[in-house]
Amino acid sequence: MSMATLTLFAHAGHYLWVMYIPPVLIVVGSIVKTTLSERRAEREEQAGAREESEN
Amino acid sequence: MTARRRRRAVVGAALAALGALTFPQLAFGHALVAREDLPIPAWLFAWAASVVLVVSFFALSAGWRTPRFEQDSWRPFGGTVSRGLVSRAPEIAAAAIGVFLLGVSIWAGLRGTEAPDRNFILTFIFVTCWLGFPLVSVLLGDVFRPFNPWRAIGRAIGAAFGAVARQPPARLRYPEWLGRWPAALGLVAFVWLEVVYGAGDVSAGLTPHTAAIAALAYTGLTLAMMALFGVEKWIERGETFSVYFNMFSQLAPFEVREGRLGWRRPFSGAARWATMPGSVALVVASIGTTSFDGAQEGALKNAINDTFDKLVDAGFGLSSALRLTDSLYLLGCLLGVAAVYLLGVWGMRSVRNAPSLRKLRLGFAHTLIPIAFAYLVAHYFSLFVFQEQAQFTYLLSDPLGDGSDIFGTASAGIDYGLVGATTVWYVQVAALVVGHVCGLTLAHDRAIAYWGDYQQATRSQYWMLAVMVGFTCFGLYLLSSANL
Repeated sequence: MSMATLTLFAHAGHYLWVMYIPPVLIVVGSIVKTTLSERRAEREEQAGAREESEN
Repeated sequence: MTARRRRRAVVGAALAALGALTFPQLAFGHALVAREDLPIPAWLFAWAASVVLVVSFFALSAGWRTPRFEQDSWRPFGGTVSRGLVSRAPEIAAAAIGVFLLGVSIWAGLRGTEAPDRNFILTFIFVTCWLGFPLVSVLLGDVFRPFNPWRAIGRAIGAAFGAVARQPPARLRYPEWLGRWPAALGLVAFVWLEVVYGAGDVSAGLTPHTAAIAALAYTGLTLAMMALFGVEKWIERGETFSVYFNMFSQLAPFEVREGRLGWRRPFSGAARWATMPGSVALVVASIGTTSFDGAQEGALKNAINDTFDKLVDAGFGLSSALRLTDSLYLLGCLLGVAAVYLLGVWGMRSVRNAPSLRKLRLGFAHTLIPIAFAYLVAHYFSLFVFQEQAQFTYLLSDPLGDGSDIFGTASAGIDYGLVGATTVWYVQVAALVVGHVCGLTLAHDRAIAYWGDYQQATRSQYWMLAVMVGFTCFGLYLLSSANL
C-alpha cells in the first residue's frame, strides 16, 4: 500500500461522523416514502369515491 | 493501472475503510482512544439507539391511543406530610440556607484564591447548583424555589417596605409577549460566561473573582426586576435559574400547590408548561448551549481553530478572537437546534387537520425537556461525579483555598477511578436513549390530544421521530468525538 493510501486511512477518524448520518437518512427517507404513498392512496380513494357518486 | 490492479486497490481500500471504522483505535493516526474496551464501535451505538427509538415509536402507535398527560392528575398528600415539608418553618430555613450559600460563594470569589479548582464559588455555582438542581428537580419537583436566595431577599425587602409604608409596593405590569424570554437570554448569558468568556482568558479560564462580580451583578439585576414586576412574577418568568430548574421539575411526580405538597402522574406537569412565549427558546437554549459545550472540544474543534486563526490574522487580539469565534459557534448551535425542532413542527403541519404552526411550535416544546435533561446528564455526568467529591471534601473545608480546614476534609482529593471511561460512555448512551424515548412519548401523547384520531396523530409524529433520531445521533457523535 502506498504512503498516500496509508495516510488516507490513518486519518479515517476525521470522517467517522459520516457513520452517524445513515440512521437519520433512513428514518427521513422512510418518512418521505410513507407520506407520499399514503397521500397517493388517499387521492386514489377520493377519486374512486367521486367516480362512484357520479355513476 | 490495469483493471485488475484497480479492482484490487478498490477492494483493499474498502476492506481497510471497514476495518478503520470497526476498530478505529487501530487506524487513527493521531487520536487517543479512551474506551478501547467497548464491544462495538461508538457509531454503532447511534444505530442501535435509533432502532430503539423506531421500535418505541411503533410500540406507542400500537398501544397508546388516548392522551394520558393532558388531564390534571394532581392529588394532595395528607396534612401532616404537607405541613412537615412545605410549611413556614422549613421554608424560612431553606431560604436562609440559600442566602447563606450565595453569600459564601461571593465572599469566596472576592476574597479567596484565584486558583479555579481551589475556590468554592466555581464548583458550587457551575457544578453543584447548575447540574445538581436539574437532577433533584426531575426527581423531587421544584426544590430550588424554597432555596432561591433572590426570592428570599426580594420577599424580605418587600415585607420590610410593606411594614414601613403600610401598603404593598406598586408594580409594573409584566408584558405578556415577553414570557420566558428573559430567562432564556439569561441562560445563554450564563453559559456564555462560563464557556466563552472564561475560555477567552487563555491563561486561567473564568476566575473566581469574575464569577463573584457576575453573581453580584445578577443579584442587583434580579432584585431590580423584582421591584419592578413583583417577586413571584419575575421568579415565574424572568429569573433564569428559577425558570430553568422549574422546567425540569415539570417531569417530577411531586408538586406544591397553594402551600400543599401533592403527587401527580410523572411527566404530566410538562404537558402544561409551554403556555407562554419564550418557552421554546428556553428549552432550545438548554440543548444548544450544552451541545456547544460538548462540541467545542471535539466535533467543532477544528472549525473553531480555523475561524480563530482567521480572526487573529485579521488583527483581533487572542482573547477577543477566541471569544468572538466561540460566540459565533454558540449562536450556530442554538440556531441549529432551533432549526431541527422547527423542521419537525413544520413536518407535523403537513398532516391533515393540523393545528396552526404557532400552536404546534408551542404545544410540542415540552417534548424537548427530557432531551435537555438527557443532554445535561450525558455531557456532564463525569464532571459532576468528580467535582462533587471536591465540593463535599476540600472545598467545603477550605472554601477560600487559603489553607483552612473547617471540617477536617481539606486534605482529601478526587478519586478519578470512581467511574471509568467505559461506564461514563454507557451512562451517556442510556441517558440519551431514555431521554429521547420520553420525548417521543410526550410528543405522541400531545399529538393524540391535538388530532383526536390516533392514526393521524401517529402520522404527525413521523417528523418528531426524525427529530429525535437526529438529536440522538448528533448527541452521540458529540460525545464520542469529545471523548476521543
